[in-house]
Amino acid sequence: MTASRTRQRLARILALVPWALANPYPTVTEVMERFGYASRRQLADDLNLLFCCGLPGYGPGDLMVAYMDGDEVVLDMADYFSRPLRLTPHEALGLLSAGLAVAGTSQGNEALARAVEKLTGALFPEAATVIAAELPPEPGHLDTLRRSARDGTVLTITYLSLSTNRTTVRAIEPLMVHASMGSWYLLAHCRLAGDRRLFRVDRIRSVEASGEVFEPPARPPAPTNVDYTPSADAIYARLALRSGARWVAEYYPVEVLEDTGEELVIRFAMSDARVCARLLLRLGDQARLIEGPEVREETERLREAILARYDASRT
Amino acid sequence: MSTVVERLINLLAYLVDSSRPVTAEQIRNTVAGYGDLSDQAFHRKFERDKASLRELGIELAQEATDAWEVEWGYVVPESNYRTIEPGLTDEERTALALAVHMVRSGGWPSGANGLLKLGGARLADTDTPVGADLGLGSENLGLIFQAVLERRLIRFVYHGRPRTLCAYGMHHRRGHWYFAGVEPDQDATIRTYRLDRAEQLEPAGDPDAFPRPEGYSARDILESLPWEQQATKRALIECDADIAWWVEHRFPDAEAVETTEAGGTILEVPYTNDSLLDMVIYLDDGAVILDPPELRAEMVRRLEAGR
Repeated sequence: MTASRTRQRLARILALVPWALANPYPTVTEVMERFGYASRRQLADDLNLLFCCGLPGYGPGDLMVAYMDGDEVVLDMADYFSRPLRLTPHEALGLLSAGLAVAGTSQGNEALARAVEKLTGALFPEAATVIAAELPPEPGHLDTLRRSARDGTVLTITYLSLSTNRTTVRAIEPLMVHASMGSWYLLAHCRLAGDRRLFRVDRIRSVEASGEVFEPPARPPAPTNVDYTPSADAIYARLALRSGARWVAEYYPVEVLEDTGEELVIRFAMSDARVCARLLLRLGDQARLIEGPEVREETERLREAILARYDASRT
Repeated sequence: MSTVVERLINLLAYLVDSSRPVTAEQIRNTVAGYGDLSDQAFHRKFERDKASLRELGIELAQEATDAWEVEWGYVVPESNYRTIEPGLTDEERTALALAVHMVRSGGWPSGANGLLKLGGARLADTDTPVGADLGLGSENLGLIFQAVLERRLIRFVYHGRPRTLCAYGMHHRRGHWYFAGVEPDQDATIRTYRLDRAEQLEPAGDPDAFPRPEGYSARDILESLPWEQQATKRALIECDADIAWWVEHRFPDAEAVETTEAGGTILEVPYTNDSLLDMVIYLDDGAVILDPPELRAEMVRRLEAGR
């Protein structure tokens, strides 16, 4: 068993025992539901384990009593474990901030608001607003996307691409929506690309049901990491950042190659040269490209195209 | 193979049940699972076990076994037990469990543990295709939260400068955690710090080291961040037909003032500073700043700078 699975199992057992002592003879179903046991067998394994543990001597009078009696869970001889353990600071903050953040979205409800209020009151009796957490505002299409991911309705979307600023119309099978780094994203199987794609929800201009359906996966997939991780066909460039552009090294997943004091030299990985080209234009004289033919070409193309528009639009 | 879990439970049972501190040697000779080990192997195993318990929030402490303080032993201190009782109903715990389930992305392996400690929850629908990343993976979050909770000073290095802070509160926005407070020897201005930029963070000193100002609100701080300031200036931006909708959407206070011959839209966009230029650059040649002249000139200057 891996270390993290060991901890997970121990955490569950140590939470279960004080609860079962305070609420004697709970039903098997209730214990399974509350503590997230996937099967009766899994619970039986944990009870059997408890039955082999106890106080030194480890004779019949020293071991805990733990077993299933028909529909009931019996737990006894474990009074020393009757007091519930504290929440670690991280656990408390996590519960509170998750509650606060979700309560501020359309997924919130009255029960959650009450839970947040009680938790806050217990942690901060002085009644100040000490912790605040929010998710990005929900774009208009979010609810439609969420519902069609659940119900398996194929959608036709008009999408303004983040990387090219071009508008395309695509049939998609929504899989899940998730919020990350200040934006909402949609993970979907795109029929145009024939593959999974991540869309930024605020760039979806319109959504229509296509009339077709698809079979949603039994469990929603794990949310895709929004951070870029270079793949085998990544493009690389070397940049020198002056003081006004040093933030780039913190904001993007770059490799710092050298710090001369005046300039920070980094290696920038991307899937599309335009990412770095725009960044270079944005940074102006605060950054220069040392090496990267694709990025150089794209930067020049973009620079001239934008400047041409400024030339053409005399105000 | 459940020997590790069994050993940890036996260890904890022994420590909790015993009315006095127990030495490592007593643990070794008494608790099932430690027998027949060399000195080195025992200590390695025992250290690992203490670390496993610590991750679950159980910190063992050492106390002298007698008044002469010759010998030291382990105890499970009171601080490991829960003193707060939020008194959540089943319905409230379920609502909270759904919220915890929703923020599962972004790495927060112990997410559900807190809820289990409060008595678990019936979670009927875990198949909701909604997720959110609250950036709860950072180890430092717990450290700052504890300092905020107990009103304990913290020390850290920020932009290369060491600081000591009375941290009043914390907030999360757009993927980042911030904490706010005052430096004891400075003026009383509440300043905000980004958690992932604070280095060498550590608690400093005892609880109740400072009062939290009455009426302090992390929410107010959130709303006073620089980019939340009221926009005072207005720019005219000409956008291509297929981009204008997004700019209007991005700036809810923007107003369409004119339609161009090419089918584009001229938008009046409220703005506060040069960061508007960054947004416009990301529109490539789909948009052009018409007014004010100084903003337009700055854009051209920036574009020409790299030529």
